[in-house]
Amino acid sequence: MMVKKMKKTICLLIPIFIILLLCSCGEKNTDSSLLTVDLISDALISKLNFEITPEEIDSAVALSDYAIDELLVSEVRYFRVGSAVADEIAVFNVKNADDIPSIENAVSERIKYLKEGFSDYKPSEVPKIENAYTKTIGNIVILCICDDISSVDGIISSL
Amino acid sequence: MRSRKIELFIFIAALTVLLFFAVSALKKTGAQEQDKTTSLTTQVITTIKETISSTAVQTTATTTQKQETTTAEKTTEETEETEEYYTEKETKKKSKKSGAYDCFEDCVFIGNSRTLDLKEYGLVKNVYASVGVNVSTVYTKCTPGSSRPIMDEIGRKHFDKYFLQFGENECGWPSESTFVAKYKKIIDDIKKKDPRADIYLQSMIPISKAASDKAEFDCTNERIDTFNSLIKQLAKDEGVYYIDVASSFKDRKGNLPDDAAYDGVHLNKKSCEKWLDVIEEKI
Repeated sequence: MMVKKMKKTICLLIPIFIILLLCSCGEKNTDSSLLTVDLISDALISKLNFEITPEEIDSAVALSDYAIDELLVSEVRYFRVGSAVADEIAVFNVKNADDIPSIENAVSERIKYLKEGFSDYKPSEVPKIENAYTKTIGNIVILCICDDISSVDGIISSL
Repeated sequence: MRSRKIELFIFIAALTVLLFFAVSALKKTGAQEQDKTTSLTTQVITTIKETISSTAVQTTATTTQKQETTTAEKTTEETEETEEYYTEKETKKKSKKSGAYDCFEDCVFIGNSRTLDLKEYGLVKNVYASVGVNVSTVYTKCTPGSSRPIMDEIGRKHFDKYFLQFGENECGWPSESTFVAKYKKIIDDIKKKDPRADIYLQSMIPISKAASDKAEFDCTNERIDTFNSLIKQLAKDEGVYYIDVASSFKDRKGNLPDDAAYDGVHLNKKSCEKWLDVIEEKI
């Protein structure tokens, strides 16, 4: 009788534990405060599939390419293959939340510039640019252009 | 009896599910910890490397000083040579540390995607270039991060030297004289906008054999050679400098070695550094 009661209690407790466990896992994924520019950029560059792996470019070049004032961002990571390939990863940490729209606008302008540049030069790169991944998490603004674009969200969510 | 069996089944099933989630949660935490550990390890290794390199530099500097002192005691002539050698080494080191070629600070590079890579790799700061640019669209296309056409950038700031490289996107043009005429216009406009500057026309760097056989934009190594002759003549006619960078990149058959470019046309960082070294030597 006692054993039967214990089993019933355990059977009731187990689903509660599972629910709690799932809730705690979910909370980890949505906590943007744990994400950093380095964490995101390192994960993207190491986990995405590229035909030619982009190389890290000096942050000064990123600020010049995106026409971003260096005072607006605290951290920048920038990866490119070269000017003839559209693949690009750029991750910015915006100092002040009020400046996020201007950085997002710079990212949009960059996409527009690349699309225009490649449309009459290498049209095969244009679909990649059109499907560019852009996301803002907290103060971090992300742009990713690559063939393996469907994997980007999963990689960032898993961090 | 039957209900006991059902209870037991539910119990085992629930236990399995719990174990599954517990294992995946542990794996996730483990992976995150591993990431953090890797990142920490990398940081520690970098710090150690930096410390070692700075110690090495200090040791080298001390040795140099000692060497110089000893040499000074021997002959003045020898000391001068040693100083010169170390000064040269120090300058190169500084360039490497900043990642840019400091000697091109007062110069500007104008051209197409090949030229743009010099900026993309962080080797030179002043680059007015864009993908697909030719001697005609240089008046309409903008450099990354600017809303002003490339030719409108000229004259806004004085540069001592202008290094121009065009032709790869024009190889397929039916008229070679159109290319020459439009290139001449660019030179004339630079002369007007920045009269004190020296203008250098660079020869086009060859492409790999595979790229030449593919003949994208009708660009082959034979066409490049033809255009290079036209560019050389144009430089002579216009009274500007001509730099033959092409010869330094040709293999025995006149092609660009496969390992010099990431797509047979566009140079990788190492080759871009070689390109700048060639210019530095020739000016």
